[in-house]
Amino acid sequence: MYLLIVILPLIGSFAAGFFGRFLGSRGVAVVTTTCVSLSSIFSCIAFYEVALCASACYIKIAPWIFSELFDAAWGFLFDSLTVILLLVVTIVSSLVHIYSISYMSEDPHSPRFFCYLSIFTFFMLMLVTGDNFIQLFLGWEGVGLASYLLINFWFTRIQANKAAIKAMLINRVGDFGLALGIMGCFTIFQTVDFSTIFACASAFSEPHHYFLFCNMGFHAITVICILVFIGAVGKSAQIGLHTWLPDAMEGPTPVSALIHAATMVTAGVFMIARCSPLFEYSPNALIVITFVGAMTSFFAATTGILQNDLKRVIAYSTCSQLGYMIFACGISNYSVSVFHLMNHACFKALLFLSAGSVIHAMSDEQDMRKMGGLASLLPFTYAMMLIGSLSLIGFPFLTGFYSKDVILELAYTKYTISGNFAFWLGSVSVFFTSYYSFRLLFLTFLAPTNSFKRDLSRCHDAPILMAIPLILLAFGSIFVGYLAKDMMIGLGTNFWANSLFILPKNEILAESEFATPTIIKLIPILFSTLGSFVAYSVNFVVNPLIFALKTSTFGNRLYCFFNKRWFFDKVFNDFLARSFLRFGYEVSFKALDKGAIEILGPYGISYTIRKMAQQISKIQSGFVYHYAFVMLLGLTIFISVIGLWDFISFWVDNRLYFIYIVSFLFINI
Amino acid sequence: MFEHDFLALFPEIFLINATIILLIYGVVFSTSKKYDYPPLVRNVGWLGLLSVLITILLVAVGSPLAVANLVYNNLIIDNFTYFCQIFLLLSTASTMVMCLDYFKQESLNAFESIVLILLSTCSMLFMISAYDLIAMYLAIELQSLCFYVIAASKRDSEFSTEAGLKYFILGAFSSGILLFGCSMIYGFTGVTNFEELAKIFTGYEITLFGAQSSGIFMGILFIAVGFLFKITAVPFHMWAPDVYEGSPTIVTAFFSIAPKISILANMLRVFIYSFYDPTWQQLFFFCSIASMILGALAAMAQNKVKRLLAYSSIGHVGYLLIGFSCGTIEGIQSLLIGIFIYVLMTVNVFAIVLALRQNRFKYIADLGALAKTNPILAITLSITMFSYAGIPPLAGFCSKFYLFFAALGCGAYLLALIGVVTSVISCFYYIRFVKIMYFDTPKTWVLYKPMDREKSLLLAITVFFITFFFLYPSPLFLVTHQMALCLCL
Amino acid sequence: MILFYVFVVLALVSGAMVIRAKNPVHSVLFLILVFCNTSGLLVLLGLDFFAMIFLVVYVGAIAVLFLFVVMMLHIRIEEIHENVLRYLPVGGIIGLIFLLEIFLMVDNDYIPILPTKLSATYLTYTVYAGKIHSWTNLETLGNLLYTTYFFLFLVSSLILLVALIGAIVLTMHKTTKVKRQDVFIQNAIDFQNTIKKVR
Repeated sequence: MYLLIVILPLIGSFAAGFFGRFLGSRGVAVVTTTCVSLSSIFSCIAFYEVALCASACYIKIAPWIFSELFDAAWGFLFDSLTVILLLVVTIVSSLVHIYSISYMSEDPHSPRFFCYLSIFTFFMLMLVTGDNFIQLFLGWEGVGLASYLLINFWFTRIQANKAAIKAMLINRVGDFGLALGIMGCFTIFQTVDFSTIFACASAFSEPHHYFLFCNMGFHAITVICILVFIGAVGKSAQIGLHTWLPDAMEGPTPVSALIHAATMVTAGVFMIARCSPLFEYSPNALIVITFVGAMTSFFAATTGILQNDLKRVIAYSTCSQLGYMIFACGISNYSVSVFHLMNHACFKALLFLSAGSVIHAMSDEQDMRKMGGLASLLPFTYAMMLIGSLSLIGFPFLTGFYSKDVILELAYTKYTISGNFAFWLGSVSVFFTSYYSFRLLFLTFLAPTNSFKRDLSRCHDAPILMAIPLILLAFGSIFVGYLAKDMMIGLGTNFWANSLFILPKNEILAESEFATPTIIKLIPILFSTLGSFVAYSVNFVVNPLIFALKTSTFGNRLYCFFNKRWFFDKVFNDFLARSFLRFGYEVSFKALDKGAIEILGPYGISYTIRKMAQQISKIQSGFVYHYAFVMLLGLTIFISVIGLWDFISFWVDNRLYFIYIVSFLFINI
Repeated sequence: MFEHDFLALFPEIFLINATIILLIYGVVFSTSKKYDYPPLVRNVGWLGLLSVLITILLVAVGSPLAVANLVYNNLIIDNFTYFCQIFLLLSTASTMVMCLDYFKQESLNAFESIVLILLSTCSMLFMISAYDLIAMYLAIELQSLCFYVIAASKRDSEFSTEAGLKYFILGAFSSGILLFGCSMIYGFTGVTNFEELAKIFTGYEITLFGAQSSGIFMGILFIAVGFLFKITAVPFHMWAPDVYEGSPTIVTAFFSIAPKISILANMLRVFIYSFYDPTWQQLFFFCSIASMILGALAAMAQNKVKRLLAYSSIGHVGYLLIGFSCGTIEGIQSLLIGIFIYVLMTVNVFAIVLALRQNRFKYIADLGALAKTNPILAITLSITMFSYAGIPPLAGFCSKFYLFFAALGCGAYLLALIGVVTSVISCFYYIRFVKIMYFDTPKTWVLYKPMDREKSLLLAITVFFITFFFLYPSPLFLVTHQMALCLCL
Repeated sequence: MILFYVFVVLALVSGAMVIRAKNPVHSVLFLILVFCNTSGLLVLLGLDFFAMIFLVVYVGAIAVLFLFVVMMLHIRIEEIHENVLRYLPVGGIIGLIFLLEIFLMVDNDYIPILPTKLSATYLTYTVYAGKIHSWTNLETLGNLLYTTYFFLFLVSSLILLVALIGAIVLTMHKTTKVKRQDVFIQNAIDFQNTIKKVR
């Protein structure tokens, strides 16, 4: 049954990919959705067995790479961390499948879409169930590939092409870091198996294990952790490698819901949580993680407040929440981070899917400034959106409240510089989060209408197939936090059994629960209400003061700065992308590839040999005395070379011939 | 004291007698006015073929297990000579089968060609079983002299005369060198018998500056040079293209096939049995490398068929010398396998060249569009060319593979590397044949008359063997292994 | 001893002059000189029979044949004049190196004049000149050549046969239109019928 969880989406994807023509659009939808739903049912059963009954499951199937020291096998590991993620991934995936049946019903390529969705699900499942780094890497790369395929689904659109390539390349940079980390792991631990590595991690955390680089020694585990974290930065869109996430909204909305809300972007967080035994032994890496996570959440939140595209706002919100998760890991509370991951999956998917419903209703209009007043036209969607937004900003006792506020309290009670930094940045982002969520609600649903009449006249609410997932996710957004809070982040819970490891000196859950001053605990609420008021006053109520602020030069510059995402894209393009492109064309293409390698390779060799052939065939002059002379010459040379070899070998070196041959090739051209 | 030897020498005696009887028969009848001076070439040809076949029978019947030193240690008969002689006689028989039709086409009425071919065959039999330096030299001289004559036997062609003359002058030069080497060996050791020489040279270090051994060193070197000339190895190969091109085609066929077998057999005996020393190994290394390179490169620039075949045979000799210069049993075995397959392929190619000669086949471009006019012949030639190029699973690949394998086994990595590289280069001009046949159109379309039955039989047998050799190679491997063993022990 | 050097120097000089002479007839005459000097060397070695055979066969048959052929071919002296100096540098150097190497080896004075010394490193072989005393060269030769080494003798005879066939194959015109002498018919001519009166 465990293997079925992983294999079913693959089977569905094969069926859709290779037999889509025969099954037809409806048939494909039925097959893939059934497969993924079955997978989600099985993962519920697995959750019950593994997490609730505390019996983890290790399956080793077959050897994959066996080469003396380096061996990686096909193996699956189902422990609490894995099954939580299994649950999240499969349920969200099946809901997205159901949603897409109706969303993509008019698209002639929908079999391909379902195939890609299922293959993505399969790779994500491989990633979370892998029991060694190589299998995780396989899943990692696979989801990168699937995300490229899905973002580029409408491949005739140039913006989609560009966005997909950007996503792939930036992910690649992250993957490079991850690969280096895996290699570092292998160097230190001589294996890539999780069980072995985590068991030995404490033994290798002594300072005398280090990597030598430029004559300086770096603590080994720190280096590994930072490299692995670079992978997480790429995949989870942290600051530095984040530019692909907003552009990835070019794909269809179900794609955004699945990949960028619930699953792929959480792969980074999952990996950090999985490698928690490693991260715990390098405090420096944890500090780095905390800083990066905090900065990301702040940056994304500030950028989100002035975006105009509906999906982009939600994307930046994802980015910001990911920053939360990452810095929650950074302060050694992996359980809270995973809990927030689960909650975030629920309400972010809800937000994306309802945004999709809005877009579908408005005939593919995505700009918020051209919508408005949809509350009366799309009441169901409005309700869903409202629930999701409230959950996102941490409205008391909804899902988001239970995880976000715990994260902020923990950051405070860490009492370190990084913890404090994270706390304040996190709190400020709460303010911004609430601001942009309410701005979205106002501009889309509550403000007076700004849209075209033909859009409004064709506006219809979500059909039943799109409504069901929304309803289920809404229930999740409301209740999941409360229901799962005690199981996952309660004091003294043994839910996580062996999967997350926290050093005893880093345990601060009890402290944060009881020793935080009450004012600190109330700060998130205060900031979010403040944010909603500001949003109301800026966007909803007509105010000449705000208008003057908006149109002043300072306001203009501020708007540009935030709207263009802090000019990250421009910096990257001008300084990095341009120089690499020029290098690729001038140096490696012109000079090396078509130049030196061609001359040393095919062109040079064929030209030289033809020339040599003609010259050698001219040696046959036809004169007998020439022939006799050559014979005599040969004889003399043999006598001298073979007889006097002891004297001659002093002057002749074999390497000279090599130089001669290479220069011969170059001279002839 | 020599009564028993005549029984062992019976095949050679039979062959010589048959030759002389054919000579007399030919002379008497072709000049008799009563029968109106008949052209007796084909007649004598068939009779000569018959005598060769009977000789094969006689050799095969003679017990192959007896090792005998005959004629006061001048000749030896053992496993090696047994198989070599049978092989040589078979290849001669196939060559004679090929050339019977040629005489009718060219109106070459000199029946003495057949007699000379038979005499040279007899001398090659002697050469294979030679066991003394003098016997070896005399057999080589006999063979060479026959060849000088038949190379020039096409009297109305300047080319042929020039070929014979060049061969004669350069051949005399190299025979002189060979004899000089033999006499130096005799001078410094006092013996000419191979066995005695083998006993002297065990554990004997030979350098240029050693007290006694400098002369021996020079002697070995000169003998090696003389032999290398005869098998057209670089740098003593210069006569080969001109002579091969100028001689009549059947003579070229005979040149490519028969002497190589006998001279390589003789070389094996001389160098591996008598002079087993690293001295000549460097020489053969260098010659092998140079032959391979020159054979591959010079053949690319050729336009005429026979010259290209000459260069390709030079290249092949380079490959065979790889096996030689290893000096191990695998090397010798691979050499013998290589010769066998080389002879097969050469017989095939020359049969095709002779068959296509009826209208015009001087330049390579004359082959154009053979695929349309004569598809089966085109396929046959393609198979042979692929086999020359060394493309699996044909026989040529097996032989080259085994040669390189032997070279790697004894540590001669440079040889194997250069062998592989030149194989690749030579692929070009072999496959150019195939390309011209299948994809080129000649300026004037040439129609080819069908070939006679003997050549078609020969072609069929050889092509079958080349194609299906890889399925059952073990008889050949066993035989050559036995030959190599008996040579080394 | 001095005779040895005389013969050697004369032989080498004549050999060089064979190549260098402009007139082909002079070349052949120098060749005869070479043969004569070589036969003198052979006499010095004590091989009387071989020296005589050299003179008879080489000078008497071969050199005479050469002379006949050279005089039948009408070679004008200017035709074979060529620019030797063009080849002198390279050829000269190669030749010198070759000779140098030969001298390197020959420097060891090991060519036995008479094979009578028995050294420890050699296997024993039959020394005929020592055992069978006072046989002449001719008797020795006859005793060996036709009994122990008869095989070599027969093969040499085959070589001569090939030479004979070769000469005929390459040069004889055998077509029916060639006029040839038939001695029997010439002798059997009926003289009465050779001349007829027509009118």
